[in-house]
Amino acid sequence: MSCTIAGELTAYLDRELPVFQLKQIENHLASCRECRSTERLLRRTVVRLAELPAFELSNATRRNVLSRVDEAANRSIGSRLEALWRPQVLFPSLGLALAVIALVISRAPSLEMRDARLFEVGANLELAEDYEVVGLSSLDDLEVVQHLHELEGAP
Amino acid sequence: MSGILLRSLFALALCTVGSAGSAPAAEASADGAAREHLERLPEAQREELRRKLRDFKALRPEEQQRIRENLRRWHQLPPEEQQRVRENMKQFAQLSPAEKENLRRQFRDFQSLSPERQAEMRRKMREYLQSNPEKREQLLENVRRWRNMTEEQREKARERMREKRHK
Repeated sequence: MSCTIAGELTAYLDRELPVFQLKQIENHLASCRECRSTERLLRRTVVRLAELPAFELSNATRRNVLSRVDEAANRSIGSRLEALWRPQVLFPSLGLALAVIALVISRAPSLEMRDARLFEVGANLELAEDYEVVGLSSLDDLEVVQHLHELEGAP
Repeated sequence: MSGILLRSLFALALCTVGSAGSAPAAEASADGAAREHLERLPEAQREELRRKLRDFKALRPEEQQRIRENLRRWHQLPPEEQQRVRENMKQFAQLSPAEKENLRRQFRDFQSLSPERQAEMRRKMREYLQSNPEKREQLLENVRRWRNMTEEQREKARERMREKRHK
């Protein structure tokens, strides 16, 4: 089957396509025998599948299937971990991580050294932040202080 | 990354970790770096830093903790705020011991004001300085003089301000 709409026939039957596309396919089916035949076959298949009786798994089969799925999943995690522990991966990764840590430790400035350089700032930060307003107790005083040099010079 | 480079890094890591793997060893390594840095400074500065370190270590643990917290906060301040604090620290450093003591006492008084009033005064002062940056030096000098004034002198200044307002 060489028609480009062939791949859309299932979606067409399920009415999952936009209206303009549905129209397009309908027009095509009117003129293409091969696609029409495929469409009929698909339609019959859908109808027959719907007619089949519901299939219920027995508890034993369900348990059997689930335990096999678990086994497969465990085997897959285990084998992935195993791959990480291979010396070709483990040693270079470990080495790189340790090198980065060692580099950071050796390059980091001593905290105490930094403390010493900024000792006064650390000891007086609160005061230094409020330095301009310490000694004032009201907004009126603030205005007086802003003009104090003028006031003292006044007669 | 080539295998040779990885092996070299690993070897380097093993060598370094050999000397800095445990916590005391890491501290020793950091001390070593600090000592190295110290050796490059002029003797006067070295002595000054040693003195500061001794002062710091002599403090009570809670005081050390406060200073560490302050330093952490300091490093997070925006550059312009750091600059303002630095300028204030310069002014502070120029005060006499008696003035520093007086300042600390008045700082405690300021802290006893309600948080709303503190915030309002900071805001007003900041607004004033932002619109009059050239008056900063003069203002700091005025504040310094104000702190050293008696209550009588302050009252006189307030009176003059009231007169000035009414003119």
